[in-house]
Amino acid sequence: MTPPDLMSRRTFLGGAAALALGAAACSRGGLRAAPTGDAGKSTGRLKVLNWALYIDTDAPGQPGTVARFEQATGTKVDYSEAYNDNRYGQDKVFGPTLEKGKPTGFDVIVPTYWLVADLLSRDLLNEIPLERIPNHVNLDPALLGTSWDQGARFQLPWQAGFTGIAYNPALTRKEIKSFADLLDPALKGKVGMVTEMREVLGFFMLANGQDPSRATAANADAALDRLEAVVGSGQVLKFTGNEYVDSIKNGEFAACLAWSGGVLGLQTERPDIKFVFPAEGGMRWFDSMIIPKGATNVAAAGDWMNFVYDPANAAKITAAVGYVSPVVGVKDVLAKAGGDAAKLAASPVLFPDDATRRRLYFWSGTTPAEEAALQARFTKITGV
Amino acid sequence: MTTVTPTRSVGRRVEAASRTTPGRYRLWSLAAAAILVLATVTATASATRMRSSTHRARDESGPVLVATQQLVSSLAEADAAASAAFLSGRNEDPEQRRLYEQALARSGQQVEDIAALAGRDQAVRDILRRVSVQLTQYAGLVEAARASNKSGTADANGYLVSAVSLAGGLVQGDVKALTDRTQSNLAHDEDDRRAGFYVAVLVLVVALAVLVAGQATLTRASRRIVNPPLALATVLTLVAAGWLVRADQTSGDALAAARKDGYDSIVLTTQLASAGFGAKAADTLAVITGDAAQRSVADAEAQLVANTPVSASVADSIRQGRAAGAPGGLLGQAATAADTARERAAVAEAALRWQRYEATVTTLRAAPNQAAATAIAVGPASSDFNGFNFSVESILGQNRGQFLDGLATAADRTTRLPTGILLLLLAALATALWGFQLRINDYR
Repeated sequence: MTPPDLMSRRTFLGGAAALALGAAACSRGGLRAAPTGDAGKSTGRLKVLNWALYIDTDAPGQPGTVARFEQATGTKVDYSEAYNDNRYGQDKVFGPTLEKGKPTGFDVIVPTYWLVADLLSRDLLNEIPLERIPNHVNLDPALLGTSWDQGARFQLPWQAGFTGIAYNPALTRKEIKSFADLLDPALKGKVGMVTEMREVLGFFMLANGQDPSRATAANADAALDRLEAVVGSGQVLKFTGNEYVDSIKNGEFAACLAWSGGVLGLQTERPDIKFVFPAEGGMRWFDSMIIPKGATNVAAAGDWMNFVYDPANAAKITAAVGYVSPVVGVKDVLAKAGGDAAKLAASPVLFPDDATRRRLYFWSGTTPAEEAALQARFTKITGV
Repeated sequence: MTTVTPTRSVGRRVEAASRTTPGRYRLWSLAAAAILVLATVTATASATRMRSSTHRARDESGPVLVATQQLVSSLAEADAAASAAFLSGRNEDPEQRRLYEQALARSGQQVEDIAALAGRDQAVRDILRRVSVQLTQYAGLVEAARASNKSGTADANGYLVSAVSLAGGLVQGDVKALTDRTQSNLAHDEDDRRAGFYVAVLVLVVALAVLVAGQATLTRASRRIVNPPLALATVLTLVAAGWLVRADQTSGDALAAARKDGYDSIVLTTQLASAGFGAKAADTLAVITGDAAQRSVADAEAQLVANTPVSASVADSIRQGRAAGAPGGLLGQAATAADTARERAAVAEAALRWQRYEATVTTLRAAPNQAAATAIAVGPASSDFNGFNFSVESILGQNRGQFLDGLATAADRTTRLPTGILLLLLAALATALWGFQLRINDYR
């Protein structure tokens, strides 16, 4: 069982597929940016802060990514799974340190993309040491073109995922095809939604015929109006983090907004639970590796990024966590590995086709000030 | 009644004064004061000019140049994405559409930025007015093509081809004129930095000579080793002269580095991006219109990007800074111009991604039918090209950083210069007068 303090939206597949792969100085307050032309040499230990259960771990005869990295580079790693969620990141990691001109104590941290964009806009990140990351060329081009970091110079995506709808056909008594189906009064009190504001509002915007990748304060507010009405009607039982997995497993939810990797993990145990990208479209997100200003081992951070961007290593992580790798070539590695890994390679949840991808959106367009106001109203409506 | 002309009067006074020792000291004092006042005026003027020109380069002409080069890149990006979105037909690819809108919005923003930074430069404003009109026309044509495409009317292709032609004309015409004008503004700022500098240095040298000679005269007459205030004045003048020369040298070096490592690379990388976009747009037009001539255009542009294939070992050569292994063309030039390990890594990645795109284009051209070619153009070709484009953006980001950092360094070297020079020389003037007066007082 996952300890409560390690709960996150990232869940895991249980490692079966991973085992199958076994054969395969800043300007602010005293912080300085790392040199921009050459990261220099790796010195001391590498300190990584990531979400819980978001990497392949050691198994008998199968060293995990951290152990293999240490073996390959000789650099010891202090790997922490304490990054519970982005609020934790804001309140406990970045707020007391970077924002006050102090180092975080980590060389690599993995927040979600919108928080990375916010940190970058405030000049709190080091440029990644591209000269140590030849595997940067393996990054999926779709993740290179963010308007806030074109060319991915200040962050490298760790894992990506989709938010869609998970449902139990035995309880819904019908196929769920759209977000409108989730709002069907027949499911009143049996619906769950995630706690991530951008994803929930994204679905309401899609239902309103609007594009969440071009969000404005006005259409996000309209989405909040609709959310408020839906919550007021009693349609939504509760808003959860990763706990939706338990709720749909035990029948508390008949259907809910869900993260692709979580459902993929659940389906190994409960293949009757379905996951669908709604007809109106779904939401995409990714978490990114960043090197905060004040990091002391930028060179090793680059080596780490290069290591996990090797398709063979990236495939092991994907097989373990069930989320979408940003590394091109992972699908091929999984397919060649055979067994459970090959099943993953064929999964439409992990590797949706182009037509489906076209219906998946990143949240974008609102300013930090607008998002703060939206978050305040979202919290008031949902209580989370 | 005898009339005495002022000149004769001054001459007589000087002659009279030179007959006594205190009189001679007064004459020295006047000479030193006169030359120091002149030095203060010329050196402060030179320093002010140095500061204003380097600050103008940092705050106006440099950013305008960067924004102009970004405008070229944004227009080309918008054009390639519009064509790709068009190709995806009624079920438009939202990613390409997003890239088009993003690039078009960026173009508009860059025009606004240039207008704001260019201030009262009427020539730039006139060009920008024309660019804005053409941007609006271009967006209109793209929307017309999109609407026609969605409704399935026959004139959709015509609208898109007109849009592509308009964008090409815009880049070759008014945007190029804008680049020429902004380049000339930066060159003017660089030249203006040294206006009056040599005169100021010459006057300071003369002032130093006068002070040293005055000191020698006092020492000889009084048999004292040194007159402290006069010595201090000499040191202050020497410091002012040294500071002025040093600021000229360091700000000049910073500007030269900004040009070499930053701006020249920006121009080169923008050419690389434009050639790449040109190849992509032509290949897309060839799929849309079936016009084989477009493929020749695409080939010519592709040759500009790289004239030999890029393998992993070629990329490795670029990373290691071995120019001999570079792929020729603009990628080869970018590899040669890259001056840091990070920049070389970015060029190597762009080269590999370009090769991937070229391989996909080969598959596209071999597609058995229009539908298959369209599927490749909208899917892997667009994706691979975006990979190349964003890698180039990474190089540009580094070049921009170096250019703007260089300009900022040049400006920083001169920020306190005028005030510092003025205070030093005024202090030198005061202490020189005090020094002479001390000796004159000895005779009272």
